[in-house]
Amino acid sequence: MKLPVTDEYLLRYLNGELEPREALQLGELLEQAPGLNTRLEELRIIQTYLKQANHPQQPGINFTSRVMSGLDRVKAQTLSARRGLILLIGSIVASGIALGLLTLGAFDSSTSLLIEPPVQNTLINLPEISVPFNTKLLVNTIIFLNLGLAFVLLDRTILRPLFQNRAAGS
Amino acid sequence: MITQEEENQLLDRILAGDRQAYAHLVDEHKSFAYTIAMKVLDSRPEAEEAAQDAFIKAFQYLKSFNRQARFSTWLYRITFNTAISYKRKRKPVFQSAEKTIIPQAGAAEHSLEQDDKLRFVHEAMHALNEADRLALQLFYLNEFSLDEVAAITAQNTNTVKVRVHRARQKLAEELKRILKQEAITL
Repeated sequence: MKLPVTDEYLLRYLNGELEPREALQLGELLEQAPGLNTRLEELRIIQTYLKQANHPQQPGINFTSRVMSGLDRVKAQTLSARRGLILLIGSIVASGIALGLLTLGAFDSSTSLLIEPPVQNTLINLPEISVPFNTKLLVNTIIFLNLGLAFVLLDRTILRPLFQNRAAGS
Repeated sequence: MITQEEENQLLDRILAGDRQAYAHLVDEHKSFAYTIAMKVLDSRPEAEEAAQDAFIKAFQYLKSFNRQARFSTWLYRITFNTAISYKRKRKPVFQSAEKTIIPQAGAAEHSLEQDDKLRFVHEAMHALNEADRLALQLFYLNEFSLDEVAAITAQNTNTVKVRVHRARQKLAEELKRILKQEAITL
């Protein structure tokens, strides 16, 4: 037999994976070499420990029912994702329309808010109140907020589930 | 234990909308999924939560499971990843000596001396680096093959083989050292 006998070889011996002839040869060698015997004993202890310590354990009795009730939460999340997607599309469409109108100059003319007197009175001449009002700035702000909302919706409804899906699938 | 064919039938039923069929799969695999999470987290409540989470994720992404691998391997991989992310999120906690579970040698023929030796191996086990220890534990958990351990931990089979070999070698060395020390003390 070739020397030295490796740990792997001894482990195969312990697992009963050696050929009968090889096992017999090793048995003879073990009688002659007390050091090898000690090593075999150490490996036997390790094998025993690993087999004892690594039995499958049982989770709590309600495990399955908890998982099944957890699936309901998943269903609810799926529905909210659908709503999120509708909101995302709505948000993008609204921003697109507003941007289109802005480009066409629809908000260029109305730059002040005119408040007329509620009742026409010929005796007293009520002044017309004019409040400066920048419609373009307001529309720009709305578009900006809308795009921010669209970005959050995109992350929650498409990107995050997509990456989670990839992580679970890989 | 269900066969591969039965498992495929269950998967078909679940994908067709029969959610109750999933309970059979959970019952079939909960023990191993929980044990894998337990090996990573070393805490019963956390392991239970992580394993439940893994089952829910598996259900959520069941459509993406291509059936090239076994469902169990795919599920255990999700469980392993979930447990790892739980471990990363948690704050470091001190585990008291009383909480540490030392496997009991059940058989009557085990002498006290052998129980002591097993205790020494348990101590030596905790001296191993985490990746090596996990590879070794999974390898001996129901004696998964090296390929299965590699698939669960997303590592190369050769890497797992090296880890298992190295971990066993280190355990043997550590045990030798402890026993020598014991002999000197006596």
